[in-house]
Amino acid sequence: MTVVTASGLTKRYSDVTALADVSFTLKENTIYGLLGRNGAGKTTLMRLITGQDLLTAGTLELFGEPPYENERVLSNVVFIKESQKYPSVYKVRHVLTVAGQLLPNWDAAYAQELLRDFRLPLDRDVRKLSRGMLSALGVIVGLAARAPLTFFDEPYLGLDAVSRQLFYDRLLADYAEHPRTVVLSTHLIDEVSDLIERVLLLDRGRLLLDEETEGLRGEVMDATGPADALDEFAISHPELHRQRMGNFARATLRGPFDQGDRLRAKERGIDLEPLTLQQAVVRLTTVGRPDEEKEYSR
Amino acid sequence: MDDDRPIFVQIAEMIENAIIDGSLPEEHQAPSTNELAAFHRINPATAAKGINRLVDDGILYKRRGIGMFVAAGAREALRQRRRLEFADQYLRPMIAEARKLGIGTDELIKMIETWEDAR
Amino acid sequence: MTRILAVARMHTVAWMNAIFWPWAILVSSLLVNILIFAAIRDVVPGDHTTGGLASIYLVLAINSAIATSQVFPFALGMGVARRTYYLATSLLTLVGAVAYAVVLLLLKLLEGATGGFGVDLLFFRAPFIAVDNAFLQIVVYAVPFLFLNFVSMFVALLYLRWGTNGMFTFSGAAILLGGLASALVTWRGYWDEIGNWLIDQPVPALVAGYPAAVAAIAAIAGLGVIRRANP
Repeated sequence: MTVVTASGLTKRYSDVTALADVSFTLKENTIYGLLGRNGAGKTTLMRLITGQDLLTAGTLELFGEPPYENERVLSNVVFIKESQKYPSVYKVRHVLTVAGQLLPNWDAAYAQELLRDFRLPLDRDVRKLSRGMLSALGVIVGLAARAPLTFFDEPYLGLDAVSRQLFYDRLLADYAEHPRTVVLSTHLIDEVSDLIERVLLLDRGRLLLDEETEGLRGEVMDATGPADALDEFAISHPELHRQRMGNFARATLRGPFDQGDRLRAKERGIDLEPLTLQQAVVRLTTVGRPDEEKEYSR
Repeated sequence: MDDDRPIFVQIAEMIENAIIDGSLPEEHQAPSTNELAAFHRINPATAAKGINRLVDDGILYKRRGIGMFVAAGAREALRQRRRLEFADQYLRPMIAEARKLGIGTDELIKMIETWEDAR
Repeated sequence: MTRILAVARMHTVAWMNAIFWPWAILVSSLLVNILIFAAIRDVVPGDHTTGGLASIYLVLAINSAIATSQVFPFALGMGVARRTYYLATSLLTLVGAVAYAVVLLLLKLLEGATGGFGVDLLFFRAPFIAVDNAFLQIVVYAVPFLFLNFVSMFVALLYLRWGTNGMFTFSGAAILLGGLASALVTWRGYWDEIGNWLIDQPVPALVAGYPAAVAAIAAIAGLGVIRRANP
């Protein structure tokens, strides 16, 4: 069952093109990773799908219908934003009460459990919550909503490492019991790489990747060795990046790499090292910007 | 979790290792998809893929309503398969490296025996 | 229907701010007035008129603007359609205006029965807002709530949709139109006629009739603005 269908999706704001010709589908009961640099268009994409903004061109369907002003399909979605703002007069318990009335699958008991896990006080004014507590509140609403389509737009940036792990654990546990479509938009790629089934990578408004995480794993490698040997080896694989140091060179290559490849590499003195998903994404989104490559160190 | 092989392959291998070394005996229940997902902190679908691979290979089978169990004869089957892979995985690189260093076959055999004795 | 109630609840759930404080401010204004006039009643005899009633109207108008800028974006994020939010908020404003007007009427009766709270105070019976007919009184009390809240919401939505530029454009246009109208009236010497016409209007028309019309216009205009508001 398809949850979201986007075709040729484009969004322009006066002088900026935030999304250009983006096409993909989101299926039910899958955890997606929506990755990309700042300004790549991740938040814009999520805003379009959740009816916060209107697209400029292309088609977009949420549960089979256009999402803008469409309460019937929007009630199946929850969108937890980075730096979500709540009405300043609310306390934590007001946010939960309101959520309970607006979100059809809300589980109040589960919300209470999560409040205890994240140590969030019910009676605190939202104005007085720290960054971490605000993030925790967002995460709690997102999880307890049990919405068939759930977006988390880096809401865990304010959380410390322990709370983040708690979020991932709770998410996995609840997802196992109540499968749904979850989209995690994040910079902390390595932390979530084991959780996400598919990767959607945006760069400068375009969709660079739409693949299974498992397929990417081991598919992007750094090959280091004598420059000539490397040149020969690299012919059969798409190259993303190249660095030279005297007689040696390192190239980031796209697989797949089979046993034969690995053997040949070894025989020619080329060292093959797999990249983590985060490193692979960084390389893929740095392509074409040589001056920025220096920022990233392995 | 390694970075160079799909996670579901690693999951399958972990269970295979447990079967081979006897810690997961035949006709015993294997960990469930959700247990594996929670323990290794991975997506349940990935864990399921690993389990399914073992089912396809005949290592695990499903008992309706209960879960996945280790098939009879799985241990021996795995041992055989690993033996076949052993030569390719371990002997080939060892011999290639030995050749590079100029170590002949007889010398290699002597080295193995000396190594064994010294342990 | 439940959805509309749920959205209305977003405005009342933190009831301390939404309901308690505006009345608390009104009551303190009333008490202050009573104390002052109790102190000076010997020096200044007769009825004592005060505009303290305006306090609750102003507070609620400000609340309306704040709610639009905070509750509306939150509601959008929770999957509420813009027109649902607008309808629920407008209905709540209407019901609230009538309910508060009834309370004010009761307080007006209390004021009358106690001789102006013992100090001949005309707080709820201030001259240009007090009318004899009880039903009409409720209307006269309610309309300023409607007028101020809908205009306040409209302006807040303008800001949400078009930002500060939008605000300046709107104010600029309003001032320009006002200026042109005044210039026209002055040139044609219509001021006397306008003055006479105003004096001829019955008080309820001025206090309730025309503001109600403006409130209705603001309400409809607001719906037009909110439909493409994307905070």
